[in-house]
Amino acid sequence: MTLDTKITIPDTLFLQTVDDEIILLDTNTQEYFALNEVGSIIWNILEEEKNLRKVHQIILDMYEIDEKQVESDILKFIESLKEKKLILVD
Amino acid sequence: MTLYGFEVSEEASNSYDSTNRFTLIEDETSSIKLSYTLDLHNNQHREISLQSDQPFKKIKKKQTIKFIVKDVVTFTWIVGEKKVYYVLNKLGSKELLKYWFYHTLSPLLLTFENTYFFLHAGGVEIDEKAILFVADSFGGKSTLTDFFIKKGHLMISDDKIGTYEENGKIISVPSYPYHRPYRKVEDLGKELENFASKKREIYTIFNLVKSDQESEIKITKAIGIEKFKVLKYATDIDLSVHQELQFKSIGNIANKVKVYDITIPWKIERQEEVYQAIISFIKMKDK
Repeated sequence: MTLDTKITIPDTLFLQTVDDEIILLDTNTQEYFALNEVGSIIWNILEEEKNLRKVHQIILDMYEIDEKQVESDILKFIESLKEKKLILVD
Repeated sequence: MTLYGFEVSEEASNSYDSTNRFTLIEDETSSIKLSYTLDLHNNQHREISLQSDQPFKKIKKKQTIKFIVKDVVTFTWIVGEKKVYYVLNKLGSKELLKYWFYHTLSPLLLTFENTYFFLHAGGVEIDEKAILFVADSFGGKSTLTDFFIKKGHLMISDDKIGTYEENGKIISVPSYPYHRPYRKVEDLGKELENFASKKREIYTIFNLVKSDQESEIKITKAIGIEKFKVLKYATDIDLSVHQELQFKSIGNIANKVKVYDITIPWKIERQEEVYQAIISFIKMKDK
């Protein structure tokens, strides 16, 4: 997986924010998940942009963090979502 | 009588209809089968199911729905209307008709209409505030509600509570006027005199956490996913219909109502202590 991998958020996934925590409900399995702080930042941008490279760039513009570290965080997060079948990856 | 904020009446004809009143009408044609079926779980040792002329995934206005308690009673209604037709089956009786209508069908009907979001909770008033108790099965919800009733507090419900949003606040409806501090199948319970009469903003929800007999009574605020889980578990009608709406309702309540975990020592003699801890906590919160 790279920052150029195409990501789709399925329409069977619902989202709620409770006390600043993002909670996702997968209506296919009825399971729900809470995102951690890093995950929430990535998810919020991903929902708008639907493009990992843009997510990467926006995070770099927002925070003073190492470029490689951001890339690794994004890919790890996307991998964990994919494993839980919360996103579709081309 | 008032049930979930609505009047209930039984009419011989279908001439009367009102949006503020449920009208039960006996009708032999209620047994006609519809195309879509949804089996429901229940703990009353009956087979119960829903049928509809349209899929259940998204309930629409004017959709015809049947609620069937096998061999007992079949109810039919059209979503958006408060007239409910019924036919009693071989094991049916007026008492069982009342039980299934009051206890199970009315909340289903009001959920399908999006009138209320139902919480599986006990509820009482403390200083004119609505306080709700939720818990796991056999977690002490009914016992604690009963203790508050005996102390003279008005009961909102001892089992399920209709809630809705009004002006950014989550309101609880005086829901179920019967009280059942015991377990018995298909039993309405005793009609209670000190049943609440006003809809009120939900002030606090206590999540009862069963603890050792000697444990300290601790009250801690639940936040984020933990609060969400408490409310998800306390969702009374958890069907595969209106899923998105249900998810939003839980999130909405989570964001608008304070939820606290309270440890409950599992010893009946310590109920008074639990009672005092809750009263003190509410009074302190007011200040």
